[in-house]
Amino acid sequence: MQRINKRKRPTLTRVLFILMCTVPSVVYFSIFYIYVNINSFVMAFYTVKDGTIIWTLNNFKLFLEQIQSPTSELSTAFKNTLITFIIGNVMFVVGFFVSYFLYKKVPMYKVFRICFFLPGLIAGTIVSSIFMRIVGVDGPIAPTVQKLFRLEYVPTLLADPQFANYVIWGNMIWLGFPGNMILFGGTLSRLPESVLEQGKLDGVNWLQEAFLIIIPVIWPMISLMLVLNIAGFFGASGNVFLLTQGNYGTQTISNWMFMQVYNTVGSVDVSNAYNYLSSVGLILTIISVAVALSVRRIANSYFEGVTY
Amino acid sequence: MKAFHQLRKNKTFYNIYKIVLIALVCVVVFAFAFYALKSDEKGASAVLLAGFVIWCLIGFFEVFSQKGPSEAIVHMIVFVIFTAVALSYLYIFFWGFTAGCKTHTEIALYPMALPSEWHFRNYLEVFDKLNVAGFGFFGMLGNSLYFSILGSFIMCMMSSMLAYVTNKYRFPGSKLFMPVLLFTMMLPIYGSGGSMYKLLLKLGFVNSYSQILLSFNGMNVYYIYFHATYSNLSWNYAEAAMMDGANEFQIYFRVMFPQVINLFGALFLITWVGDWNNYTSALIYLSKLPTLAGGIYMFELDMVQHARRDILYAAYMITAVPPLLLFIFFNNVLTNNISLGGIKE
Repeated sequence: MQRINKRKRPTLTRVLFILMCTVPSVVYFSIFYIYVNINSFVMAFYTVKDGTIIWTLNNFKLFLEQIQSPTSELSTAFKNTLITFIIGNVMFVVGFFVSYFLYKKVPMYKVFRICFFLPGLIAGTIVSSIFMRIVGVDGPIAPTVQKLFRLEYVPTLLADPQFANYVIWGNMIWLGFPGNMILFGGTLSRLPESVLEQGKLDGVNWLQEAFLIIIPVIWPMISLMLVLNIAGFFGASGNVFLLTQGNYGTQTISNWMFMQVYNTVGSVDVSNAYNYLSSVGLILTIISVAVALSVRRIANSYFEGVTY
Repeated sequence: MKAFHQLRKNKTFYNIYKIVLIALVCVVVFAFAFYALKSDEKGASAVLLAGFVIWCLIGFFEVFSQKGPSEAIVHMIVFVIFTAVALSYLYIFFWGFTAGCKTHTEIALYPMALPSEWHFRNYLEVFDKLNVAGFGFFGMLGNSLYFSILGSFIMCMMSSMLAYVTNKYRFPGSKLFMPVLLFTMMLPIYGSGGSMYKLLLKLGFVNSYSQILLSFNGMNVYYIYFHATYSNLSWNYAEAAMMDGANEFQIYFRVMFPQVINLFGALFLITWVGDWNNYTSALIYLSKLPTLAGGIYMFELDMVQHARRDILYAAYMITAVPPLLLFIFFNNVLTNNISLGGIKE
């Protein structure tokens, strides 16, 4: 990397240019990341009653009580988040292979590439609304489920705790099928042709090419994405808000946190929901820091080849 | 099969082959539209089935004429799976479009059927009936364009400038940005939504056009993409410009930035689509200044009460048009310019 020698006396234009490029981001980071998170940390340790701040650990106590109760919303949210996280990671692998086969020019790959982008191009509200009609009582799926489970009624799949989670996970698998095509596709398109040509000359078959050449070559990117996925464990969630709003046993931690803010928008000054949210967030952050550091350590060796 | 593969290499044959394929697709589409407009479900289904069989046959010939047996079988299975998923995605649009042409009662009673009568005027009624928090369709469109286009442009530009300056210049703290960003990405902090809302409320950013100031943040994942690209960009260009008397601003905007314009364009488009469709923060921070994505969700609640799902789906489809047009014209820009580095040399 060539850089301007720092020993040279910087000109006013250069100083102004550097300031113009850096100051807005530094200010933003200071206010909307550092201040917001410090404030969130402080909020975890107090509640507000009749306009008076009371310093307390009650938010944490409440969290511990709720998490121990198997029927509580948070307890359900943890379980669902874990399952969603696992599905998300399986779909990450599926998504990679989708990009791989598009890169290998499966017939009509250009048509598929366009089609696979479609759900990502339109608002989640649109896809979810249409999906809800398709899995609704009058759609084609609910009567099939009725026959499969020999029910006496056509089930309302998204309003039935027996099925709601499966529908949400199904929705997640369906929409997550193409994966991160932009990132995977972009990286695969940069693969040096000479390496693949050399492999062909050496007589490798397509399977060896995939697992012994392509995946190892782009492994730094894959491992980075995987570690980021794992670090964001508690953020794993399907379209819970749009499909069920967390009802019928479908709550996830991410949606629970969103709902805490969404439902309290009109009563910020009188509600302690944000303080409770902060305390839950603090505990989750501590857990995720531990997990992320462990994963980072395990994956460290794979990061050697990363070039940012 | 081998003969077909050899023939494909002939340019004239390949061009004729492509024209025949396009003609076949057109025939299937027109035949389907013909039966659909007559509300003849059996005819439309038969055309779809015929189209599917032709599609699979083409795939079969394509695969087996070019690949070895084992690879061809895998590609054929993948082809069928991809076809099923692609059809399901296309069906969303088809369903949404037809629902927008039905009556509310028809949508409720026969959601999967074709419209008994096509009410295309629903798509015009949207412009009258769509109203959320005092904003009509064009009001919400204006809000969406303001926040998504201006916001995305500012954010991408800030990321690009920050990545450039920390990559090519040495100054106190220049090496801190990347580790700090990676640290924040690796260790996400949860539960700060309440704190953020309180701060934005205090600053007067909630339901305000000044919320655009939140876009002045270069420290995001795009910083990494730009950083990787600027790392591979030779400083010789800048030195040549310096010798010609260019200052830092001219070097960046006239020499260096144009060389990353493709990446900038791709990231801008991705951000724009994301912001255009972002309904979560719009619901919380812009409930009285609705964008189309947030407004449409509130409109859905309102439409349920007013029993006009036909208008709702027509509105949904109209809202989906801008990103679709964008993708049709710029899909190569989107798919070929982004990578995270990370390829072993």
